[in-house]
Amino acid sequence: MTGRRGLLLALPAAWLALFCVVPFAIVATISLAESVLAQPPYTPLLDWSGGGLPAWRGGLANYGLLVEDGLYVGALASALAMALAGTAGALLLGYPMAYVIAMARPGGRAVLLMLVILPFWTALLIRVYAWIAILANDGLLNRLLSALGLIEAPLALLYTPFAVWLGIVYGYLPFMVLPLYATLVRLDPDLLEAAADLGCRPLAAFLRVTLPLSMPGVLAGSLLVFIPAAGEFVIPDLLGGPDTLLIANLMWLEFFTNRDWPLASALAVTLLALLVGPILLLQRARGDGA
Amino acid sequence: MTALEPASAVDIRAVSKSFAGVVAVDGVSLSLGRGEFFSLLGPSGSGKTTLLRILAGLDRPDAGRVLIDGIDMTDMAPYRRPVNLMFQSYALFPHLSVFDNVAFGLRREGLGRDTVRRRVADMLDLLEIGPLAARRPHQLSGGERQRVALARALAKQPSVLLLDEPLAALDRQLRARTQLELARLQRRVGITFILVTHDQEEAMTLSSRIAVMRAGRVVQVDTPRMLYERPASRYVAEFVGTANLFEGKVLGVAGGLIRVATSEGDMLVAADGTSPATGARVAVVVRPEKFRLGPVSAGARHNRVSGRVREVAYFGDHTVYRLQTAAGSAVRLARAHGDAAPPLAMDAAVEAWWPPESGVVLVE
Amino acid sequence: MRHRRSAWLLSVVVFGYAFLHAPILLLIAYSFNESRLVTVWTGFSTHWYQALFANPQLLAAARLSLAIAAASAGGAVVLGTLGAVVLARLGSFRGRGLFAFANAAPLVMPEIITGLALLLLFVALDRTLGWPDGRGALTIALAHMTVATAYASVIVRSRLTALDPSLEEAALDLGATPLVAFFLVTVPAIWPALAAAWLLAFTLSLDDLVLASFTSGPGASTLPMVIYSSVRLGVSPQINALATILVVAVALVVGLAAWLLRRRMH
Repeated sequence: MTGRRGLLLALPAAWLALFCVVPFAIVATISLAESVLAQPPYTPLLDWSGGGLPAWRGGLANYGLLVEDGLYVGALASALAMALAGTAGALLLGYPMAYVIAMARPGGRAVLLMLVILPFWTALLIRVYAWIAILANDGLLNRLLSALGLIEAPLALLYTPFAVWLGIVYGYLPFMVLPLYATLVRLDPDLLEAAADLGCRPLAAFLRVTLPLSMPGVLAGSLLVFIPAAGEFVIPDLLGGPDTLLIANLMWLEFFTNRDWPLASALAVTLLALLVGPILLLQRARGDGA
Repeated sequence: MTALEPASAVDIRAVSKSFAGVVAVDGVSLSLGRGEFFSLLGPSGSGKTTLLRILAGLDRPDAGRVLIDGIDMTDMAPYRRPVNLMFQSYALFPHLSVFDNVAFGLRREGLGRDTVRRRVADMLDLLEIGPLAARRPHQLSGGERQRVALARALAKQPSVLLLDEPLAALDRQLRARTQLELARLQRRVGITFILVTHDQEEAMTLSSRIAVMRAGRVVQVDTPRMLYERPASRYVAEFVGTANLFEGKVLGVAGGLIRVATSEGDMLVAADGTSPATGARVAVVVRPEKFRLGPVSAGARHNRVSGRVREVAYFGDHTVYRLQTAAGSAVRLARAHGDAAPPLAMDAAVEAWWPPESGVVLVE
Repeated sequence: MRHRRSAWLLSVVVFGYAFLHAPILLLIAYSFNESRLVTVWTGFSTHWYQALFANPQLLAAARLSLAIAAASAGGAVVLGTLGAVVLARLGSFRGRGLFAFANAAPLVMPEIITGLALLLLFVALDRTLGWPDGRGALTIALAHMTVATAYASVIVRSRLTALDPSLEEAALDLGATPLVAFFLVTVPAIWPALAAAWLLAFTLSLDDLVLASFTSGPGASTLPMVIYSSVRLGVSPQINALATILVVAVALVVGLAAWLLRRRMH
């Protein structure tokens, strides 16, 4: 029996080690190297040229640069701020939606739920692309507003922080609604009846019963939005402008344009270090440590 | 195994098993004869299902050996054992028809198509579910599922059939009918049955012998009658049937009778081979139906209780009364109907007695 | 108690659904626009679709993407199922916590970090083992498999956990070896989850830009990579047409799958 267990375990464990553990160790290692014009474009950490024991050539220079150069700190701060604002927006819009889905009759519930899940199956790239035509200066929204006589000159919407925020709320809304719905639908309706029976008006019953009991869903949904949003690349890249350079865009730039792999790695390590807390919190919120 | 030394059908030797530090089975040894209908009786968490799963090979014991037909099976995989289990949930394969469910085990033996078809048909006939052969499990009633599960487990003609609470999912009336059928079936196929149940009535009705389990240990193995009439411990006395327990102290043993001082006066109990030390703390067990009412017979100056009726529970064929004695004990006594005696009224003063051979002395 | 739905609650929800779906519906509508401008309606036309099928670069990218998606989805379902079986059926073993964590990590990891990490892995492997010998379709598929395995594992595991374990035990009891029991009893019981996992892995791969950009090499451009480079040059109705085909195809397949599963359950 034990041999069989080992056999069953061996393949997935080897896979996980190679593709889910080792790569991050390599990122951490290369973040200590220096960038050079070579293939691959970083210096080896161990210098064997001296003969005998190799000399250690790694250093924290990249991290020093991250701290000194305001560009990186700024990009990191704006990424976190944008993720936070996007999470708040998704929560404000997603909670009422999840609430209504959970309270709907089973038939309608399936349809409403399907309509939330459907965008999840559509490429984010395409969904974000669709916004360009809406938000552009000569886009559909500006045309609509000026046709209604609400504006005279077109509003600058595209390539602004607002557009990025909108894109994040739009892109991650399903991640907020689904866990919220899952918590709300399990809520025993008798609890609300009991609250009403004990003299709670509907609003008070919501604030004192529904809301506190749905906090696990709020937490899970918020983390599911915040974590990927903090590292989001496509949305700020397509909808943002020069003043919305988020951490992921900077990583992309360092990696593809400047070919500075060690610096990009250091950025990745820094972002990951900031997200470790939320990730662990999420794993615990989902239970079972996984 | 040799002809000279007929091995028992099942031999469980000092088997122990714990899960994450919690002991489920604690040094259990049992020996079962061929063709026995044996029950493991105990409350949930007493380790009876774990013991059954160890016999099936689904759990591995931490210590001890399991022998079936004299062959050590302890390390044998479940799919190699001549044992089949009927699961409490029935565990019918939802994607297979009744026929394919019953045929599943036979096909694993590599039997030919015709053999499989014949043996499945025989099995379906035996359990009178032939017409259901093409149905899926979700198209069956609870009773029909139970029969399919039984047919599937019996189809491989195991040496031992294990049944995990086989009747628990049935409603009361169906359960009573199925009990009788199960007993008849067992006599017909002649296979050793081991039944796990928490229902003492079920165990009593079906079994040739019962092992009462508590906290992973077997506390008594006996025939149903002996378990009821001669419980060996306070636990068995209270778990099997209803018992009145009178706490007391042994005054002495004389003439085959033990004299016990209790709050209800001195009691005389047939010694029945036991002789507890004078001064020992004991409990006297008296079953509710052993009490007799009316004028105390000449020989029975002892074993008397008197009190007032405080509760009356009517059961159709008998009534149970709870008496409150002057000394403060609560005594339950049962009276069968059908005799001419009028029912006792609430608050009536009652005097009752029991013969010495109706009691049991338990030394704690 | 059914809540009296106040007007504002209803309007928020209507707005939410419009917000979720209007952009894609507009995109689809304008793919049939005659004009080159994506924002001015001039008349109905399908010529952007014709142009699409005359674009060899797009067609090649589509073929590559479909092949990568199919392969990585297949691999992800196999590996994800193995991982799910380990977590749902093996009980406790040394390193279970780490196993579970690594198994789920790609679910929440920002794609840009995963992409960078996998690229650096492939570079390091190339230097030490000489494999995978450059980057292209194979490395993209492996990267997609890494992320999709995590999704597949979650889906299959939740189905396995809900499955009555006595079904598998009954199969063992009736003489099936563990492997036979898995294929004769477990797989038929969890196949909806396997199908759902495959579909999700397939669409994840088909939709991915970031991982593919990192792990691709010269000459291997997936559909999202082509779309991305075209989008960066500006909005074009041809992209609208392509996006429409992708959205409708995925919606049809997912809808069909959901319908099949529902029918199967009744």
